[in-house]
Amino acid sequence: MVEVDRETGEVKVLRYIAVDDCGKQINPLLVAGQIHGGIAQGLAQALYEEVVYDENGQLLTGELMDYAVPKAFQLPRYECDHTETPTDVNPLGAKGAGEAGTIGATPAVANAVIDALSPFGVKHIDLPLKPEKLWRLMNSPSS
Amino acid sequence: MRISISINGVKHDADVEPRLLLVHFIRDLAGLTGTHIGCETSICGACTVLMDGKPVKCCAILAVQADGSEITTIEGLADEGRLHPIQEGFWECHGLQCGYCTPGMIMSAYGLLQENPDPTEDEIRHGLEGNLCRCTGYQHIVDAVRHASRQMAAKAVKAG
Amino acid sequence: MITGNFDYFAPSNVEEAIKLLNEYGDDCKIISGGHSLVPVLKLRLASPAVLIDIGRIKGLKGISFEGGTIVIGTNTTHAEIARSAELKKHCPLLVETAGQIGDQQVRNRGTIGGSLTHADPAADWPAAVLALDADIIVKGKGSVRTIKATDFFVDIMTSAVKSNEIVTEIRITKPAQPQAAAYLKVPQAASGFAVVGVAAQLTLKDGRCEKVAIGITGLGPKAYRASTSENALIGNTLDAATISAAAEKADTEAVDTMEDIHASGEFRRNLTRVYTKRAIMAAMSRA
Ligand SMILES: Cc1cc2nc3c(=O)[nH]c(=O)nc-3n(C[C@H](O)[C@H](O)[C@H](O)COP(=O)(O)OP(=O)(O)OC[C@H]3O[C@@H](n4cnc5c(N)ncnc54)[C@H](O)[C@@H]3O)c2cc1C
Ligand code: FES
Ligand code: FES
Repeated sequence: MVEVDRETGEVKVLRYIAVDDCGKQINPLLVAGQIHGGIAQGLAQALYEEVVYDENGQLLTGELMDYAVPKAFQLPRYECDHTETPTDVNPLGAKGAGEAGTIGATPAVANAVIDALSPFGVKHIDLPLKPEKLWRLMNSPSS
Repeated sequence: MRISISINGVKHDADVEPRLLLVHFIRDLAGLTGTHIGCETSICGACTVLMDGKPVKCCAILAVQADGSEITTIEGLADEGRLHPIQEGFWECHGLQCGYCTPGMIMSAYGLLQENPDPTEDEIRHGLEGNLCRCTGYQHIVDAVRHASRQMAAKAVKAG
Repeated sequence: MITGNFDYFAPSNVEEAIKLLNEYGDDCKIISGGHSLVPVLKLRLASPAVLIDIGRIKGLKGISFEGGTIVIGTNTTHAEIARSAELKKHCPLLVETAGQIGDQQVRNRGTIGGSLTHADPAADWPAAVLALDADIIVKGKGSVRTIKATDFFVDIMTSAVKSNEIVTEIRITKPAQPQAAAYLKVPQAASGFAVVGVAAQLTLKDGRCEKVAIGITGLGPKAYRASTSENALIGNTLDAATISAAAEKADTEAVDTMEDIHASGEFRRNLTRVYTKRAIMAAMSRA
């Protein structure tokens, strides 16, 4: 669930809920950690991280001063839950959890922002969803 | 130039080039490699140590600027083999994965709890804005700092 | 990443520092906290032959009061200002600004004088010292100058301090209504520097705006006072319509704008107008 500032295009993620299934969890705390890290990566892909080159092919985001790896305050508290469907291909019933959080996070955040902007006729936005892009969509003559 | 820096209570005297960075003094001259170098551009916070009790990024400080100061690194936080409550918090709450950001994160958390012993979640997240973590998504780090804050408060009550 | 080689001096008083500055001329640089300079040296964007560390000079650090004037030594760190209970009471705008600079590690090293002299167009202090009408005191060989905040920022990364001069202190008249102030910034997502930052200090009398000063950083190559907006507020009752109309003019003084991968000039202008409105509203609500 997101909030987009009508005047500035700034996005705030209000809630993020993830339900995963990695079969039998051996250490639930470690699974949660993996899910969290994945969500952070996916969410940042949607909102912050971007590799930018200029017209000569020069990388403009070669430093952390310009390439936005997310900080703690730019991310929400994740609300996680899980279902448990054990696999029968190994005796533990466990499946990988490593990248699970990442996969859903990017489209979930992007779709939430697109939904928030639907009153402006917005159906698609290229990632990342930077404030200026959203501000322009909310203030373009067609919206 | 001859300088003297106390690290974790031990004096280190050395003749250094003025351009030597404090982080290299700590890692290469004093041999304390718990302090990490991440970005080298003063953003990531991996190199955070306490300088006269306050967290600083020592990749952006010249060793000569620190002449005469007292540095505490991650190696100096445990008390006679007993983990500091913040270290304990990271252990208990699974506050680390690869561990690269951890020493810096812990030193920043130390500074944060010194200023604000009972921080809210929001205050913890803002307090750690100078430290990047690529693995954990920060939630367990926030939990670890909360854990430490409770432990430290309980200890303070016990100590009267 | 290491810097080029240089000689290093750590003078113990201002006179000695000025003597060294005159001796080495353009080959030397002052270093205070080093949190702007060391990164610059590491990237070899500058390679001075001599560094003069003023960090050990006593008397250049600290916050004091002389009657109605607040005096802040150049070497006072952002953290010391953010933590000051006295300033919270007499000039909370300084506290609010200091607390939004970088992160706690940066605030523990970076100094107000270093930040002002560096004159980064995305720095936070310029907005606050403009809104507080500060005086910056600068010493040279046998001379002392007072530079008004409005004359201090000359161009991108250029302040009015000459290369053989040293900033010693920042002097600010205690605001009449200290709490009627706000500093709001839009942090750049990666670096945390201001894409735009707006500082406002108000004096209200009988519901009307008697005095207002608005300092804006981030939009142009140098920070400026939003005089057109100020004039649209002075003498008026500050209702939402008046504030909005005044804030719409907050980018008037900015002829050129900064522009980078984080925000175009046009978007920065919009942020300036929106955040000016919000800063005035916030200042009013605290009065
Ligand atoms: C990771 C990071 C994030 C940051 N984020 C922000 C931010 O969000 N907002 C912000 O405003 N700033 C930010 N900064 C900059 C920070 O505030 C700097 O510390 C400050 O700009 C410079 O202060 P300093 O004491 O470190 O100066 P130094 O680096 O020591 O000096 C800066 C310049 O000023 C000159 N100088 C210093 N003192 C004097 C003096 N007394 N007289 C004459 N010349 C002098 C030096 O010669 C040099 O040219 C950030 C820095 C870093 C590393
Ligand atoms: S290594 Fe010092 S901040 Fe990244
Ligand atoms: S645990 Fe890997 S960077 Fe933080």
